[in-house]
Amino acid sequence: MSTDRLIDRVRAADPAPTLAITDDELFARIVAQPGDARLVRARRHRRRIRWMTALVVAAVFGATGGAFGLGAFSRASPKALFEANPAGPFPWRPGQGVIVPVVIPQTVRLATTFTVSGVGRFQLWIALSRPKGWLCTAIRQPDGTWAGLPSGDKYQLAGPMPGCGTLGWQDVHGFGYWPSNIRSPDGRQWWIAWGYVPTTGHPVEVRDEISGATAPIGDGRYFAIVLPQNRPGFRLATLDVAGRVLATDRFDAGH
Amino acid sequence: MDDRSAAEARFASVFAHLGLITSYARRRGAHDPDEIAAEAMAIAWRRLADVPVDDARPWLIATARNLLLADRRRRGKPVADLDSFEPAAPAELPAPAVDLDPELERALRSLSAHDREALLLVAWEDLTPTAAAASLGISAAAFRVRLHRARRRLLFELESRAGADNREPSMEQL
Repeated sequence: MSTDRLIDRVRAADPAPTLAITDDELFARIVAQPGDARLVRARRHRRRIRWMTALVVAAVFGATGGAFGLGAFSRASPKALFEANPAGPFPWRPGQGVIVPVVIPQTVRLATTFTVSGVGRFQLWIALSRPKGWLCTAIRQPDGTWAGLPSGDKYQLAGPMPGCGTLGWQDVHGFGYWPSNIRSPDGRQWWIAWGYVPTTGHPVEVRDEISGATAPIGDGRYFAIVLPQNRPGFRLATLDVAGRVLATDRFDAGH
Repeated sequence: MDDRSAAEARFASVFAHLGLITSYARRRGAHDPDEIAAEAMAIAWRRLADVPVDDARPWLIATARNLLLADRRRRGKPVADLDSFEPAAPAELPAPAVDLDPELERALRSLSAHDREALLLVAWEDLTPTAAAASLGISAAAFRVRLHRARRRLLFELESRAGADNREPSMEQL
């Protein structure tokens, strides 16, 4: 008997062949427990490194015209921030080199605002960029500083911003957004979803069909919605001026 | 994606091996395979930074093995180390899906615990030698020696019992 046949014989005698098991309840119970804090620290460290790298690149190559030091970004104008593009100058796809999106200044605009109870009002700023038309996004915090910069990133809102080329911009039929979360001073947790909705119909409002929360759609398709985090995920829908549902999407938070 | 969502997404890829770990525990004679697998997954979540991203199976199997040893200790079957740990004979397993022929069972029992585990990690858990070595905390070279020894010994035992010559198989046969 060859050793191959020997292994085959043992394999055939497997008394408990592996079966694919899905146990959503067990998964939910496990992830409801505190996770590994080292991962959070590592991600924040990597994020900090990325921002620092971006700032160094901007400083070295003059992308900011030399106008910005490390601290100057936090209260820069939207246009100046997008021109500096802290989140932008990175390889977009492996093996395709580095694409550095450059903001088109005329397209810089305030898309919408959102308010978190007890925290304040945030602003979502957007713009388009060359050469591929990618979206530029940035969120201004209630104190006027920009989210996502190494200094003053008070709420750790998720998403690769501020910068250009940070959110997919090819799919006019789909939702494109980043889910994030934030805690208000009274201890309540909120989902924040910010991004854009499909251009199907003429959407004027986005609504979470689970909690019933709504948010206006700004500039044709941009939104930022605040949702209570005590729900099992959320399902977004766009509505027209008559209240008709135009498109739906679903984000499953895994809870 | 925030930190928690990223961690859950990463854990989901680990959790996909729940069936493998349950089967591993069952094959090794766990009193409650489902409990062992669930506990291994809970440990993986708490120590997710330690779980290799490329292949979680060796880490999970090593964790499940430690849980099995601890469980056997609790149940009054003291074990000092893997040498004295006797994986349950397949015939003793709670619900064997495939009957193990007595001849193969006896041959497997003739192997040392280390060698038997090496063989079974490849045959039943379908691990590569490198992954199996990682799960045992030994080098790939050391694992290959164990696996070679296990195959040779098992072949000898089977052929002996089959009425063949009571000689060790020649190297050509291996």
